[in-house]
Amino acid sequence: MSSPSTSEKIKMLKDIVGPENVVDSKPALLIYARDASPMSGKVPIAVVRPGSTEEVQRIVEWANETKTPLYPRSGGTSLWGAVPLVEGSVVVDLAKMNRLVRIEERNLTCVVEPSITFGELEALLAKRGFRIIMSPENGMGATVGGNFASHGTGWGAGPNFSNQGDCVVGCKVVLPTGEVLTTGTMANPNAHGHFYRYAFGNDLTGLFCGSEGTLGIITELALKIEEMPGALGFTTFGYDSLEAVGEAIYRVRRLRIPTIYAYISTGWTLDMLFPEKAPWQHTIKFVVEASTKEILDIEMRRLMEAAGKEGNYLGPQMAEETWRERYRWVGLFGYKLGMRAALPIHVPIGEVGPYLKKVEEMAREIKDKYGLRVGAGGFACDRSCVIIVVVYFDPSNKRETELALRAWHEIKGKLFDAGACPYRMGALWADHMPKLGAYYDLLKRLKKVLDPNNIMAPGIMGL
Amino acid sequence: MVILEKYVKQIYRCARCGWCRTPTFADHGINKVCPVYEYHPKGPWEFFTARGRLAIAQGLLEGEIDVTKDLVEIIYSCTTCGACHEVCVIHFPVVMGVSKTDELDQVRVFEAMRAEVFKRRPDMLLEPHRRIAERVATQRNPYGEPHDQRFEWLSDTYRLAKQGETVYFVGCTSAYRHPEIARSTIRVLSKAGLVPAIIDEWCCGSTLLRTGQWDYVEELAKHNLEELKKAGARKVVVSCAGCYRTLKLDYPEILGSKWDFEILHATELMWELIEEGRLKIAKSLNQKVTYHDPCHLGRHAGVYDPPRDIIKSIPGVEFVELTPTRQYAMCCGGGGGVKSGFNELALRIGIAAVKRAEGIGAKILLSACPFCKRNLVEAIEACKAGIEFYDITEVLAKLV
Repeated sequence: MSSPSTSEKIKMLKDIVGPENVVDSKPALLIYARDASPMSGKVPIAVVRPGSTEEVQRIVEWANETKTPLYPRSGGTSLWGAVPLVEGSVVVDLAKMNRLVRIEERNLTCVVEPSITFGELEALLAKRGFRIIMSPENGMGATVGGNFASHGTGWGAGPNFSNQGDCVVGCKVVLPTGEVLTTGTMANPNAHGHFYRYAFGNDLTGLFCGSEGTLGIITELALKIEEMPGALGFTTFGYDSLEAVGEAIYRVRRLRIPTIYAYISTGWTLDMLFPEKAPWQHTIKFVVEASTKEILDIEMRRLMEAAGKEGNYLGPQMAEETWRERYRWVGLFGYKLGMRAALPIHVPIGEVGPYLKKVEEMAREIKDKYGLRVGAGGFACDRSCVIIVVVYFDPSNKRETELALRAWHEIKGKLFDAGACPYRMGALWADHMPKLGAYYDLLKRLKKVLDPNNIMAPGIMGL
Repeated sequence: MVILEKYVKQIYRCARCGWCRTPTFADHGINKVCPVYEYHPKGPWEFFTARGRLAIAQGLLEGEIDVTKDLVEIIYSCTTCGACHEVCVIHFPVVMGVSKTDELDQVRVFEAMRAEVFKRRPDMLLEPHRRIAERVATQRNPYGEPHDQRFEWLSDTYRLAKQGETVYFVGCTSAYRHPEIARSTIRVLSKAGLVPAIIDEWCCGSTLLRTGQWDYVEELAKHNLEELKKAGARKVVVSCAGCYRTLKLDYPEILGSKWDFEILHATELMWELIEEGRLKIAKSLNQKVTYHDPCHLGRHAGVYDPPRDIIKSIPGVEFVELTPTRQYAMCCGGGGGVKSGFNELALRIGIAAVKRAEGIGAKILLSACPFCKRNLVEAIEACKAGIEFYDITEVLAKLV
């Protein structure tokens, strides 16, 4: 049988989900070839919008029959090139699957569809006195499904949690061949809901955490929820050297001080962002949570001692303001100076200082070589610290955009060679995957077994 | 491609962060933002959001797409309410007071996209919008009503002069569709001893500006300028939020320094009169009341407090705010040519607005724009809501 034409494919898709849930006109498709990174993807032939796991299942079955590549999309806010990479693809827009399905109060979990944003979920849970544990810097626009599928971390990362995956106890996935898999306790249809991730042998939830759509389409996630914290404390310290910043972060983590936010701003970046107040010290803004005010007082004293050893106490206000605006703060660091080519990486919690020094050197080199400004900040996870390197550029200037992309890839290569670990992958890191040797080989073999027709997000992560 | 090129920096400034899609940040009262994304009969599609529209603008600039029926439908199904601007990541430095410059004005860009499309393919213009332009050209109002009947609503009770420092610019919707607002305005101002003059006004041109038909607006603006000059006006009072935005923000751009009048919305002037003690609210209103911010008055022109101050000063009123409100308030659905071009969409947005007001227990929904009134009253009827709608001026007219 010859493969169907594009128009035949679109007709088939419309039969599956209804014509109102398929678009194929060029203007409508343009945004689906882009994410929040500077990378542009291939414009898909259509976008399909399922409303249920069953519809996703039928779309995936159709894609296998017609050998059509699928790119799942929820928030479309990725910074690492989560865009269609091959011609003739269909984007699966999960926008309608954005519900809080249920709260399993006795399990202290909730079940959500992938496209619910963190902001939406927080607001819904707060009405019942609950919260989720972790949310990304762009909690306004980013979705829970997208963050899990890309190994997200963010606010809430502390001594016990470093990754969205740490807060997920199970998921429902439509596999690349169309079967529906539920992981964690709910693999047992008689289970009392989602309450334990590591049930029944291998951690299959982990297989999909960070898989970025290459191994299936996540249609439900079960997240840990907990009561609102009893008390929050805020403080900021300034440091004269990046080494002192690194030591403060390490001490705070080693002492298990319960920070949910330890946000580094490098002095040179603050000088660029707020020149009217330059010169700036490097700063770390801390938010600490505790179950009671009394415990908070104890933890804040410990923090003052640990972070203040080489730091200059700057009061609670900056940290409190940043926390209050935690979902919008990216508007300053990320975009005040232009569009950003952002490169987030994980570095060891005890090596933050040396890595920041390297980034500082690179920022100078990029400035000299390309005339572009490079900023850097970061935040502590449990055993790692995320450093976000940002190349600022004017996207309306083609030449500058080309230079920014070049600088972005140069910094990426240097940091990888220095031992940093990519935080999120997309198309951005695809060229580095072969360097992982056996690890990459196994990923490819897994992909081949689960997705024999290679329909799921081909090219992402080099798969 | 002359028009869009002026906006090239803004068009590429979009970070595609998704805040214009489904932002929720309960700490700040932000929940749903784009009324078209939320309530379009075709459901939520990204091309209805600001980032989708800006991707289309980039496509137009780069010659990647042509003007097609699909494109026209997308770019005209936007109320140009500007809520996406308020939550935009690029606007955040301004929110935080660390930048004074707005580097991306979505409403301007979306209007420019329409002007660009109209310039390239005038034949693709939506029929209702084409008719509006025709009617404005012949009868000086978008409804096609006879120009010589513009002031028919004016009863013999009030004899308004043709000369005066304060001129009441009635606006087409108040003149022809909601004359009760015009009559109430005159009544309230007269109670304060301020009888405004009227002029031979023509449509302000708002409907043409919002639908990309810019060419004829200068002629309208020039006529209104001459008439105001002839009347010896210094202050111009308007009832309509659309007229307000046009006279306050657009005319200075079109006419430059020649346009030198103080533009006041009726609620601004009435609050001034209440504060000065010239206007007394004699009766009480024992009702739970809420207020819908007209986009052109609030987000576009920054007038949030005078309407609220008036409502709160009415004895007996229990005032409750909608969520979201003020700069994050959701549009009524009537603006940007959507009411005339896509009435089903306008009504769906209007019904959602009415239900939000009902949801907080309000018995009266107030606003300060005849255009909002048109859509919200229709929405109340369509969903048989147990809530009444009035323009603030109408309520004041009964209480002073």
